Amino acid sequence: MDCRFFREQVVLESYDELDAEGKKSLEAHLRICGDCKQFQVSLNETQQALDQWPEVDRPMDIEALHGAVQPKPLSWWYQLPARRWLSWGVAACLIIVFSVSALAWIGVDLKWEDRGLTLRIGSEAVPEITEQELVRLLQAERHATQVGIVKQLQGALDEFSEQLQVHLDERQKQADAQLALIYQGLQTQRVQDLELIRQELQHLAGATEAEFLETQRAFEFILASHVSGIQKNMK
Amino acid sequence: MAKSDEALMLQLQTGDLRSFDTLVKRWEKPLLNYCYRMVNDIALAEDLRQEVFFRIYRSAKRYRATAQFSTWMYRIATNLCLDTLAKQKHRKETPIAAYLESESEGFDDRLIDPSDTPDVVLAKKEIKSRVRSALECLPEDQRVIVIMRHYNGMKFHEIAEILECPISTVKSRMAAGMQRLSQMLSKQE
Repeated sequence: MDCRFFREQVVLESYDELDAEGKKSLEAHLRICGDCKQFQVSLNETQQALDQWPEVDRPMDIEALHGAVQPKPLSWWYQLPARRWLSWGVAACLIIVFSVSALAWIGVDLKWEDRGLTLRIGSEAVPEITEQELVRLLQAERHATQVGIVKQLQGALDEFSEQLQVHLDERQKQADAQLALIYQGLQTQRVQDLELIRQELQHLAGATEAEFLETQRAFEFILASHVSGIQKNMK
Repeated sequence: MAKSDEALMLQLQTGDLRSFDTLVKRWEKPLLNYCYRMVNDIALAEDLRQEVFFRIYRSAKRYRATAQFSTWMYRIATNLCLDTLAKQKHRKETPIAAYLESESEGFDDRLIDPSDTPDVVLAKKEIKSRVRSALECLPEDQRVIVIMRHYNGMKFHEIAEILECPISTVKSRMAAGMQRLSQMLSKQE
């Protein structure tokens, strides 16, 4: 047997819970096992240390405990089951209210009429009417339907017209804006063209004047040459 | 001759509150010490003791004298203490030992023998503090058994009955617990 077993035996022996045979076996083991002997010593010290945590004594407050264990008076709600007649009465009222609500919800009508007690289930009973009256009612209903359709169409048409007018106004505004832009562009172009023409004319005028002066100088030179030639010949 | 616990419980079943008082007076101290060593908090231990007695009173009608009263009572107390410890763990509260070191130190000081010299008082306080820490470090299944056997003096078969497990399990857990305590206390030295 290993030391683990004997250490358990040491613990049992220390609490006097080991039988005679176990004690004999343990003593034999402790004679040859120093580790288990050391554990026995250590265990005794541990038990002495455990004893250093003394007992405490705080008597209970018996009155407080009585207060805690005594049943508290129940509220009226929990007392209801004890008053059986009241419980039955409340239950009966609830059943009646529930039944009447349910009958009203599914459309049951209970009335006392000339013929006796009448029970109607579902919608209101349909009154008896003549064929002429039926035709009149149908015509009236058809007329009302037609009037309704016409009104609906008229409304739709008005709405469409309004939307169309709004759309046209927007288009007109866009076209005006585009025309204004084109006009402005043309105006600018025209001003630029006029400026170019003026510059060209100015240039042309300058050139003509220079050519004129050149020609004049040429004529003056030729004329001077002829005059000097004639004068030489005359001499 | 004093009536047995079981006889008192049978009287309580008939509505006799005095028998309940007798039971309370008989068991209030061992139960308080058991709860105190389990939860390591004197105020909480007092609450748990009151709750145990409250449960005993409430379920007195269901009590059958087939089992010992003390077994039944300690089973209620153990379950309550373990539930409380589990809730404290779940809430991740301040470790009990650390908190109670300051909380119940003053209370335990009143229990010190006035004839002790200051050195002895200090040494005792030191050992007690180490014991409390070591016990708290034990797994709960071992701590319950060590407390029941060492402090409450119950036999292993009684503990097995309370915990509803085989006696061999109780013995092996006790041995494991004591070995662990020895190791922890010798390390701290």
